Amino acid sequence: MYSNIFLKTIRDGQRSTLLFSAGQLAIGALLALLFPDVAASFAGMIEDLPEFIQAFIGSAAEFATPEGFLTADPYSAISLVIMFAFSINRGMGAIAAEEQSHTLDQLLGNPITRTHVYFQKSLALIADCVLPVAALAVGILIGALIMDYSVSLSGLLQMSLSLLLVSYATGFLALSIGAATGSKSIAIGIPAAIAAIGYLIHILVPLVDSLSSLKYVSILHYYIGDKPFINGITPWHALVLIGVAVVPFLVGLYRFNGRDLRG
Amino acid sequence: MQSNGNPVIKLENLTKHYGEIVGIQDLSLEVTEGEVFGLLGPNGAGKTTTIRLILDFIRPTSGKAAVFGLSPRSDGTDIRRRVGYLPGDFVTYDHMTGATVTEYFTHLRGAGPVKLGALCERYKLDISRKIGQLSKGNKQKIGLVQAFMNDPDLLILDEPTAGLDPLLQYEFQKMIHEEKAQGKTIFMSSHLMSEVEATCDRVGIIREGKLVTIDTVSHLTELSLWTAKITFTQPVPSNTFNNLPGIAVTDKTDDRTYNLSISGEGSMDSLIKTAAKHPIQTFESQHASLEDAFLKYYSGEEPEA
Repeated sequence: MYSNIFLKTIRDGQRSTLLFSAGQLAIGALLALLFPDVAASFAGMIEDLPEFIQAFIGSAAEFATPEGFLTADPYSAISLVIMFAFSINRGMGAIAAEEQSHTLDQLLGNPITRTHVYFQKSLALIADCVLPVAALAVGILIGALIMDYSVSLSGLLQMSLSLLLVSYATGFLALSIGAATGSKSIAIGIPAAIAAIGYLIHILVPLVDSLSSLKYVSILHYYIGDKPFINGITPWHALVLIGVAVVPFLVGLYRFNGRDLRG
Repeated sequence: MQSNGNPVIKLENLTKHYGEIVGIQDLSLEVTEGEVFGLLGPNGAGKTTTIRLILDFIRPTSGKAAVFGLSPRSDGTDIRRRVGYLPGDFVTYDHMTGATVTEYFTHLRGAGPVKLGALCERYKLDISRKIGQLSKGNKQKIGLVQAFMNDPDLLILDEPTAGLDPLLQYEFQKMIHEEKAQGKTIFMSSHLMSEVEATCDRVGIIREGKLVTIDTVSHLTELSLWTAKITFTQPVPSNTFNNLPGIAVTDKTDDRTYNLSISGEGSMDSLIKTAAKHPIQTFESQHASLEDAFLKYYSGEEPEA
């Protein structure tokens, strides 16, 4: 497991990746198990709510389907927040944490380039995020199987892909900011603020008409604005999410190669 | 094996500023193949900055460095393939064992840990334990082992014996002599004069980022030459030694007891002849250590050659 930086990074985070994945699996299964009962009782309630509230949580018709219900929770709520926390933490840990704990000098004392370290850490981030996202989908399938209803497999795959992409966006923001600055707090703070503000905008836009154009500022719009579980992933939304990961990745690499490392 | 004169490390007017703060200023030196070179100075003098510039962890404000004739910036991997490095205040991955840390670095270096077993035995190091459970001294041993284990051509060691007990410091000194005998080049920083004196061929004394002198250890100690303590049976005039070149009164406890230093052009003969004009009760003299030379540089007095 210690034959390269990629495998060591995966190994170092293995326990927490498994715990996060177990949590996502449990959440997916629990919500899928609850869907038939909760959806039935909520559907009637939602019909009585004003339209703008329905616009936020989903219409009664959507909510009555597993895809609509699961879009609201976990994919718009708890599991999304978990993936933000997971990916930002991993991104920050890649370079900034190693630098601040004074092991980066030692690592780079070996015949490897900074670019090599950066790519291996990035590959580890890409690999790390897959398991918790997949575990969530598996949990949903298990719940649906137990409760004997079907879920759109294509929708679930596309929803999972969208969750993976938004996780990469925040994770690579953290990784690249950490690599560019060597600061753990900045590497966590900026992506967390972007995620939190995006979340707030995503919640407020359906409620306040005058804010509607703001939705394009929110990272969540590109993640779930078009409801990939129900409607499939929107290609340009996926491209925006990829861009939010790739552009900082490139800037971070450039800065990491050009700056002084902290002693 | 003696140094053969090929420069392994060459620094030319190397300067590093951190904003307004001077890390090092116009530092020039050469370390030749087979040489043990010590960079001596207190904390904050610029020793670690110099090492980090050599290894391309930080970039110079001006000047240049070359290692094996290569640029640390553009040929860093080729350089580091031949270097064993011990960082100052060595810390490593606490959750890993010594065995997994050495395994990891062996893979990254792509070279077999040919000396691992012998080094562990020498330092009585148990590498099966997690780093986080080790004492500071044992962590430092891990640092030394990983620096030496791949039998590199050049060892760059930043405060190598920090945290080691005297026995292990002695073991380290023996190891440096063995590496030198094999023709290895060693560049180490230290603030321990005894360590440098026992291991290095040449030493550079660095003060506030500037290299104030660079010389062989033997010559540096000669420069500081001798100290003398003379106690007279009765008071003697305080200007007795004033006109003796190279001789200075360093301390005078009373009109009868004088501590003197003899350096550069000063001669023991003239000191004794001058002192002998007065009745002497005791006369003690000893050769100065590198520590005296070092302290002289740090007090701002530069010994005359």
